[in-house]
Amino acid sequence: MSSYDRTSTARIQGISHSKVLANAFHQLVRSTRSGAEASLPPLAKRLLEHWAEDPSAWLEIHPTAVSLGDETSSAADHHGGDWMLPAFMSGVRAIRPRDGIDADDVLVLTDELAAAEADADAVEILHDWLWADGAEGFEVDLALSFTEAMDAITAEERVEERMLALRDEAAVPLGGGAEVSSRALDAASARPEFAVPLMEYEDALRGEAGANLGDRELAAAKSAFEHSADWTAMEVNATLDLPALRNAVPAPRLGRMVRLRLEGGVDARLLAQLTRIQTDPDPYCQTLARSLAGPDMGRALARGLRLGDEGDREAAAKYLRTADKSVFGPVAREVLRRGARSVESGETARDFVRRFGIMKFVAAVPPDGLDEVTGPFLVTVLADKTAPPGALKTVVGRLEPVTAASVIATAPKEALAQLGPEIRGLLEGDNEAAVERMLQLLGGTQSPAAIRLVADTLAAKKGEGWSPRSIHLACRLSRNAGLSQSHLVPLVHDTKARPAARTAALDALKDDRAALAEVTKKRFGELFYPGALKQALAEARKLAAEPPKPTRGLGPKGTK
Amino acid sequence: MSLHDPVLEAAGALLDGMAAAIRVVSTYEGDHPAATRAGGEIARLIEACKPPFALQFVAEAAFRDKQLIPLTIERFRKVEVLGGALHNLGSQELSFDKVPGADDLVSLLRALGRGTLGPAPDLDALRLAHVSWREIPNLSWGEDPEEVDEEVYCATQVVLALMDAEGIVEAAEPVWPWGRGLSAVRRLERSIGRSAAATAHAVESAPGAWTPARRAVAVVALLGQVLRKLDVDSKLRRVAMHAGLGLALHGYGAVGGSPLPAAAESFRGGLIAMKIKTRRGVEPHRLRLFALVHQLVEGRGRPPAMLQLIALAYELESGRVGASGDALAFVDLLARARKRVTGSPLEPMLRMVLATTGVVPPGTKVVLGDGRAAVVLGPGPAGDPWRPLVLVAGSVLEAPDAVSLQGA
Repeated sequence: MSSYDRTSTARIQGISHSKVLANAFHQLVRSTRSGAEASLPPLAKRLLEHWAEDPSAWLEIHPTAVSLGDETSSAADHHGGDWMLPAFMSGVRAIRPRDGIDADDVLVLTDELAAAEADADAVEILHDWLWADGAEGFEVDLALSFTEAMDAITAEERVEERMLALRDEAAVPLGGGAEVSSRALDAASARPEFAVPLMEYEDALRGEAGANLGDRELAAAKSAFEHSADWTAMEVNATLDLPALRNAVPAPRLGRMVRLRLEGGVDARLLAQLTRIQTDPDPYCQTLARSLAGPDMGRALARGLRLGDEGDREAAAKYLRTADKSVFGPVAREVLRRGARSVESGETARDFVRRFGIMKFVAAVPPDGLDEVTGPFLVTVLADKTAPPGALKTVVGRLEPVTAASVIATAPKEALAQLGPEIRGLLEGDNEAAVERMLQLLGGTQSPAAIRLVADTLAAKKGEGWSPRSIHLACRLSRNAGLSQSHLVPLVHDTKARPAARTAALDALKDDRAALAEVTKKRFGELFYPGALKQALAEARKLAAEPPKPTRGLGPKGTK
Repeated sequence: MSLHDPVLEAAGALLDGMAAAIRVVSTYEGDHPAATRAGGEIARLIEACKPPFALQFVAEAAFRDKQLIPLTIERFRKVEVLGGALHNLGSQELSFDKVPGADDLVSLLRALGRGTLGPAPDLDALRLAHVSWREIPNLSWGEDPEEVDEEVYCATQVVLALMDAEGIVEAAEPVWPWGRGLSAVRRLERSIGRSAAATAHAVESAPGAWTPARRAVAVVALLGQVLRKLDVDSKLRRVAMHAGLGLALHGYGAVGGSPLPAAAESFRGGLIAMKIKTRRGVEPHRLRLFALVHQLVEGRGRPPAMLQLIALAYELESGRVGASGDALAFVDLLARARKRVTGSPLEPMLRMVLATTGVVPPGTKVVLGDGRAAVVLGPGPAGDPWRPLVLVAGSVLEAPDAVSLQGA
């Protein structure tokens, strides 16, 4: 039974989702406490599935119960709920998952909760751990611990003294009527020793009307202090440099941390560090590098990558050249997507591709990385005069037919000549959408060579794998290009061709009287033609027998 | 304190016994033998606790001489009853200097029994030998700061943080006392959360000398204020504050301080000496703290903004005390720093500090337009940096006109 089924069953049985979730959490901690190791990962996974239905829901921890909304799970007295009191004493009031949480995060928290005891040391250890963000993947509403509640008593006497001092400020009389405290006098007497430029300070800042900062400056400062890439780089550096940290931070865990942070921004410094890790033979670095491979890493990097700065582009290109292909795929897709967004972002994306190496980029772009938006942008990159010859051909050769057709359709006319084999390949292929796209493209060129290619392919394929629409289009193009006699008439009588193709060819010949006369000549084999074709031939003969109609300026071939 | 600490276990047994005895003496009136037996049992339990001692009932917890008494679910419920009863009688602390007589204890238990039913006349009417009780002033300081006067709350937290910092200096252990460090940071964080200005004033105007511990607290408070004003993620703010504390305590001497990289190296040594492997690896806070301090030691590449702010805060308090032992006011430190950092990478950081503390920060002695001396308490309601809220001759008011530092 899937967890969804279980939840549904619980609902049918009248148990709310809140209660199911609260009970699932309680059950997990209880199982951890009882040492039922094997059952823990599935329980954690199921808990997350329940929580995923309402991730914003806070699970509230009470001294003797857990609850979610108005629903209370089993009270602590029953079913081994004695973990709740130590958690409450530690200050835990409520928890809920953060984005990116995984089952391991759940197990870490429940392991800590299960180990907690209701005494001062254990309460403080758990409180410190939670305050230090030990419960990764969770938001924790942390109140004072029970031991901190004694603060008021501990500090009683010193606070009294402090309060008297604070309230006594500016209360010491001085000759001349002004009042200053003795401490102020101490400070004043120290100024000459330190050569404090107090008046200069006052004059300068009064002139500047204080030191107020605007909202933009404040926001920029906040962003600088929180700079995700700076923090990540520092943490990775420290871990790699200090054996004590290496021993305590397993490489896969550090890798996960880096991956999760990348979305917050990646800069040249961090990328340089990631490059070093990838190329360092040290076993820890190698394990770390492996944990930084895979499409998840690529997706995270793609979201955090900044291409606006030249240094960032260079570092990104250098890193990605050594990175696993699975990392590069999502990044390449993102680069192309951004490139297609605007002229400015197109320039930075093009520059990145050039730095990375156009052919390498082309070789590494995954087939699903090109679609109707990114493909055409890549064509513009490949149309660049710095692009090596044959780059476009290589790309097209690696693409799915539909995407290849889209890319070819947006390629500059001069590039089409080198793509003949690819276009022919698509026409000869079985993908109806790609065939149709190529037919439109070739028809639009009005080039005799292109139309002949269409007609030749139609004749060779005999309509197999083409949609009726494509067949009609190809027949019309062939007729308009004067290929009725050479291609369409034989097709009508080709008993190996698809009946639909033969009928379509005949239909296209109705406006070409010379070809119509030719195709309607009686043949012995007609007896064995499909019924629909025989009927169409009969109608064509009637038409051929009629006097020609005026074409009203539509041209000699009566183009439609 | 483990679950098996005999002193605390004896106190726990006393709580259990008192809760049971209250029910007995409330059921049997007068000198009924059951009530007398209950009093005798409590006397035995008090004796086992070896008086003198005091029991405190604070925020759903019970303490013996300020040590948390281990709880079970059953005992937690008894503590709720006992604490609630005592609270209804106007007290939060019961002290026993010797073992009281059984009759006195029966009277005490009966009074507590009345307290379990709701507010009742306080215990002062009782005349009991060897038992005393009291209301702990500002009991809700810790648990619910909203109910406590801002000034008192911040002063409390600053004092506690200072005590933590002094404890670290006194212990002078080669290993960084992790829990104590966190505790100091948490207290200042709470204080700043309640009022940045009151915190700054409490740090600046505290009685006593500007010891390294106090200057360390000042560093932490300053970092906390600036980063809170900028609404920097609390996780990063806490790391910076913790780093500031450790660096200052490792770097500052009675006068001045060692260069920041040297302080960082010493602090990093203390961190490395810790047993850093917790049950499930290293917490993010610990890893970030290591990272910051390590970066300060190594000095690789462009220093991140957070390190520059820490460097400025460290630099400011380094110069607080002169060779003569006299200490400067914070505004003096700002004035010196302004001259020193102009044109350096720390200049933007000083602007952040000034934007946070104000150009005349809390605790600054100023002169009003009418010549009276005053102390700055915080920014004034009008937002004019030169017309702050001041304390003058016992009154708090917005400076009527621009204050001056001249002559202050």
